[in-house]
Amino acid sequence: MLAEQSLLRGRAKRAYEWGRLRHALAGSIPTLLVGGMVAALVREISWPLVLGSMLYLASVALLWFGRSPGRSVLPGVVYGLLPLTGGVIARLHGHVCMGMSCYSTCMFYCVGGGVVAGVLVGRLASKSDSPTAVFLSAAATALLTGAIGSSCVGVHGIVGMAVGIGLGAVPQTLRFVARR
Amino acid sequence: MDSATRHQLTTLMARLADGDRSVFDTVYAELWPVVSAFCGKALPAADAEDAAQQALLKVFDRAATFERDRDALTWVLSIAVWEIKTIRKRHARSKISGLADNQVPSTPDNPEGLTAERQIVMAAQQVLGQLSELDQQALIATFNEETPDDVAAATFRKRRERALLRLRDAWSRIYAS
Repeated sequence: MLAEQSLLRGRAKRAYEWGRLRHALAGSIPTLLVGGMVAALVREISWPLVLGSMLYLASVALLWFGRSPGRSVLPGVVYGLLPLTGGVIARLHGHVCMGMSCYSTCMFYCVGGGVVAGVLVGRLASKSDSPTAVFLSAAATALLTGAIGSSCVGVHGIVGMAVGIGLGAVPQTLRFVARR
Repeated sequence: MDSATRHQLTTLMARLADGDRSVFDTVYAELWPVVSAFCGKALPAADAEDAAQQALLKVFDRAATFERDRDALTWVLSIAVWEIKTIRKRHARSKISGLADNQVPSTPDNPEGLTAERQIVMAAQQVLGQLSELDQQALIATFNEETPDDVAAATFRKRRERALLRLRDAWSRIYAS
């Protein structure tokens, strides 16, 4: 009887983990769509789809794990849409002309979008019970989401956006450290 | 189950849905007696245990989709009710599609009856082949009216009931149409 119960408990545990994994796989599908939409918009398949797949895998892993990291996936992706949009705009309208001189806008959009996303991620983390886990999870998903758009303007776009997210998170991190 | 325990169960289920694995054992220990007793009231003993096991596995399989504003006990019992209905339907179907005794006369002077009987035996062998070795052994021992020495009588009885249930299922799956 005890052996049967322990067997059933084991099966229940496996069912629970499989159920979570299935839920995570289905719940992460929109992240694949983001990569697909960007690829269609900028007519470049390789990088947006590779980064979209990486975002999908990260999202599946975090949602399967659950708790604070799992709950941070959606806000992370939403905040990441800011640098992503910036990157796509930079790709479609790569420069601004004022009078006789023209300026490249890609770095401005990527870093700017990254800073705003970083501020939002920092704010989210400082409000949660487990700020480190939330920050890491939301920043990673925001970074990957933003990278899908920023990749259109090259590796420097991704680096710029990552720096932006880092910079944006600094004020909240300092405030959090000071409060402790 | 009193309202405090019920509320606690909902809180624990919500934590499990959120991914807090530390409450798994507590939830399991709370749910098994409740689901088991619930199925026991609705079905005969052997079927009740199967239904309770299936219901519990489904509960944990769907735990990630549990919404914290729902009542956990109602949610769990609704899954158990579904399992009970499934088992009852399965029984009703197997009664309809099952072969009645003396349906085919099998006398040596009736070659058609012999052929039909041989076909049934072959079909039974095919269905038996789909079962696990343990189920096959249990069914063969039952056919020979034997009880294995190394297994307790109660355990063997349960094993036999489950093997028969699986045999019926396999038969229905293959020959129901």
